Amino acid sequence: MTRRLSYEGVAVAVPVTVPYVRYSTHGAHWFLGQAVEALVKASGVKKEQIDGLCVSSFSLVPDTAVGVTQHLGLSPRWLDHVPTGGASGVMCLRRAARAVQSGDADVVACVAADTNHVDSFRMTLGAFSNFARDATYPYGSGGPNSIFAMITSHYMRTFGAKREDFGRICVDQRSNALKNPHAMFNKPLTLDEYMAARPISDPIHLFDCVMPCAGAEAFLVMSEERARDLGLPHAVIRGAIERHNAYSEDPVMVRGGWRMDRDDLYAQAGVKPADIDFVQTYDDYPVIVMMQFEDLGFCEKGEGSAFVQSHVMTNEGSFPNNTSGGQLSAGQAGAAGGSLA
Amino acid sequence: MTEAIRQLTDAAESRAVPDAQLGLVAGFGMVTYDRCLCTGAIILGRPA
Repeated sequence: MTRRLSYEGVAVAVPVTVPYVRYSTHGAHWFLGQAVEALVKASGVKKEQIDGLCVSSFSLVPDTAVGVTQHLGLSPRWLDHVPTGGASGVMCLRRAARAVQSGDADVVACVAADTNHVDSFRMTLGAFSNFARDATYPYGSGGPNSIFAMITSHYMRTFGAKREDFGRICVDQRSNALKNPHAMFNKPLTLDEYMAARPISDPIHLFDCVMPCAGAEAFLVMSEERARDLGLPHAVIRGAIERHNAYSEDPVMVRGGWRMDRDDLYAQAGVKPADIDFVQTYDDYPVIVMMQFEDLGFCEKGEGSAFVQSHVMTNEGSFPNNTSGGQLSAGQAGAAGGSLA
Repeated sequence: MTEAIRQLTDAAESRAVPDAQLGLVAGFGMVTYDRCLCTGAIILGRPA
């Protein structure tokens, strides 16, 4: 395999969070607009200078990214709509970076936002995919909780993981969330409270579940030169991977696509897992966090339990994970959950 | 992504991971019946 083009020269800057609320009567467009306004105010970039837009949102439907351009008064020369929820932050940044490197856009706003109406959860479930619409929702399926209960239960049987192991992930993330003024959950969580919480779909209990809410996350992508000219502190991309429909032959998910491409990720960056100072895992459920620890090379498959038992995952600990508290403590504003990490 | 950017630009306030130089952000999404279809990961660092 030939080495891909690096992401040299690209800056990622201006992290914006539109504070989460449990319910809102605003539409997704409003939250997207709040995010773009915040990007403009924080960056010194005029709205007219934003010439690339990448949007991720579930509740924007039936509008897509292009509808947003008219609502917000933008006229970009590069546009992408990335409706892939929790993977959209990574995917948007990969695409925006290439647009900047090629000169197709100079300043790209990556924005993820969702509203949450009182019946949003039910409406989103039934229309989430053709499969949901035709094969599960009509039969009363309650959505991801029972799916991830099956995945969690299978993982526990296969590798001997205990609920306490998942609890460690949740408890340490909550500890990190206490220092996040935007987090929806701001009370400490003990392992006893985690274990005693009411069951949702066995073995998933209350604190294994994110709280759906409304809000937005956004950032700007531009050249490093432009970021320096604007005086914007920024990060750079050392490596990036994505993969879809990985390991379809596994009857139940025990590993994710990260495993297929992780060697490429670390090779691009020229680093090893031990060199990583913090991880922001996608935490829809703690079993998936544990799989990311394994599949991204921090421990072997099946060793997730031993790994969490021997590490402290708080910001001051041996393996900082989800330094803002993650979705499990901060809340999941729909597709913005893919960008809060 | 936003939190990782904050950590690497010294904007994470009391949440700052000491001497954070490299962060890994992972994504996962689009649930079907028994799994999610999308995965991704990015390693972010500080400018040279």
